[in-house]
Amino acid sequence: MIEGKGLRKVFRTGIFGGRRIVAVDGVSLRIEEGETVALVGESGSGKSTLGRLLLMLIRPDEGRVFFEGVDLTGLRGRELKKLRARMQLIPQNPEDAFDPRWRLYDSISEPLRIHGLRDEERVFELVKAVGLKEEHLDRYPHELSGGELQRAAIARALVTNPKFVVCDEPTSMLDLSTQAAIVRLLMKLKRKMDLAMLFITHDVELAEVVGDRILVMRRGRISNYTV
Amino acid sequence: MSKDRLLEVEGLRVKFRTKAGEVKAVSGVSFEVFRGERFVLIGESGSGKSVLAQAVLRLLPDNAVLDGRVIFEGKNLFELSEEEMRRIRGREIAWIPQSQSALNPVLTVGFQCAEPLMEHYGMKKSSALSKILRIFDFLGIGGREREYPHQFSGGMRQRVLVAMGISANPKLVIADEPTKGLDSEKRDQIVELFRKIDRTMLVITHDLRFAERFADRIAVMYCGEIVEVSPAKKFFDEPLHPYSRGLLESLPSRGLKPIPGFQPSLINPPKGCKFRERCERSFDECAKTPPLVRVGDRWVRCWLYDRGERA
Repeated sequence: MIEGKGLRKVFRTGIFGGRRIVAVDGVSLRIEEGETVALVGESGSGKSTLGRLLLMLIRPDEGRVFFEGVDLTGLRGRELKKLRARMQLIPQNPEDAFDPRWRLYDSISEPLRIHGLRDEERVFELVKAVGLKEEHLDRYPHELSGGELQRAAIARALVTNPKFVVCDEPTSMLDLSTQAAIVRLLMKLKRKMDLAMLFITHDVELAEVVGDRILVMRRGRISNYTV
Repeated sequence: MSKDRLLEVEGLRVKFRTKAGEVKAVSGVSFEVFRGERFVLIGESGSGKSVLAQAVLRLLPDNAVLDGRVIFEGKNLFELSEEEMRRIRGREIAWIPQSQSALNPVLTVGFQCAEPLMEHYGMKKSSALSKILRIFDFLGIGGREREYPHQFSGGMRQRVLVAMGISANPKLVIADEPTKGLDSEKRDQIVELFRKIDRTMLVITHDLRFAERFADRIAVMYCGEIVEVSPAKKFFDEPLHPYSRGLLESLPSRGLKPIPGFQPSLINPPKGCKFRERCERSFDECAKTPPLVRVGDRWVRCWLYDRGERA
């Protein structure tokens, strides 16, 4: 489904980019259709960067990303955009997914507009699937609780019917009982839609519950998780 | 262990007057913290736990209406003047805030930590700083006293806040969500750090794993009320209140089972038991407000345990 080969990303910071931070240091991984890979690591270990590389939200300095056999690293503009509908990100802070001045309907249906899909039914279908009510669609982000907003972010990410989703610590800002509900929801939708998933978390116990497989990231490199 | 009460909170109520109506953030909370004890107050966001802690130190804004008593070493803190209260804050009772924005970005961390000593004990800057150096060494941030807050990572900043909190040698330390925003490995380090402090502590958190490792006794807050007080081990082995049970079962390692429904609004909380609508075990009695009843050395606010019997 999705495969990264020899991915490497270096960030330059400081005056004249003098300081180099190797965020991802030669990582290869492959996620099959319907498979959930949990990626555990400390903050700063490079796990979010790896997630964004696989989605081509940032370009690798070295290495290639293949999605359904297509080499994304060679694609530009319109060709890449076409594939973007099939791969999505669920961010840590659901606030990041929403424009505070837009009603939820406009935000959730935005991916459909961008990709030229006219499917209003899909919005309502997903809102129901994530456990929100239609009346939530008329509200603004600040009128929802953290858990409700994360549900809306999930609906937005899934509205274009993706095959691969990166969940970047989707519950670390939520209360414990809300976390359980959101994780269960994600697992249910994953089975229903046969999604490949990269689930990023720093919580090993959570990783053990959600992941078919667990990878550990440390200083930009990954290894298999063994108990 | 002699049960010497250092802090007693009796019938504490905190209301906020807002445009949307009166928010009852804390409604009738009573508990005590014994000398030398590690008391951890757990609750989810909006349960009133941070408000409760700030009420103890009288740090709430002017639109807060306080009622009840907070007795610290025999003195009712609510009857003290602002001047007397200022002598207690930092010197008798320290407050360790959440790490995000608690430090002044333009002062060195060493100076900020030395300030309580200069303020409360009239120490000179040089002698205050030399005392701070020893505390920094003790907490594993030795040699960094001339640095500024932005040079510290989240976990290290928490150490600075701890240093500041304990610098004036307080009798009670109150910490607000010390593990918030930190990853699991750093949380473990905070547990170690807090154990090192070795004095009476009241910690507010929603982090159950922190509570399990650190607490002697645990109180659970829901919707502005304490619903259970238990020794930590008993709490994690066998929680009494259905909400406590729900919280533990929502841990990934204990089933990842969500609690149905949502926490009710504090503007218009339901009558009777506030957890009733989300509770699998509710029955007719629950329409009436349950009292906090004693079960052995534990307390629980639930009709299932009325008259001290187990249902």
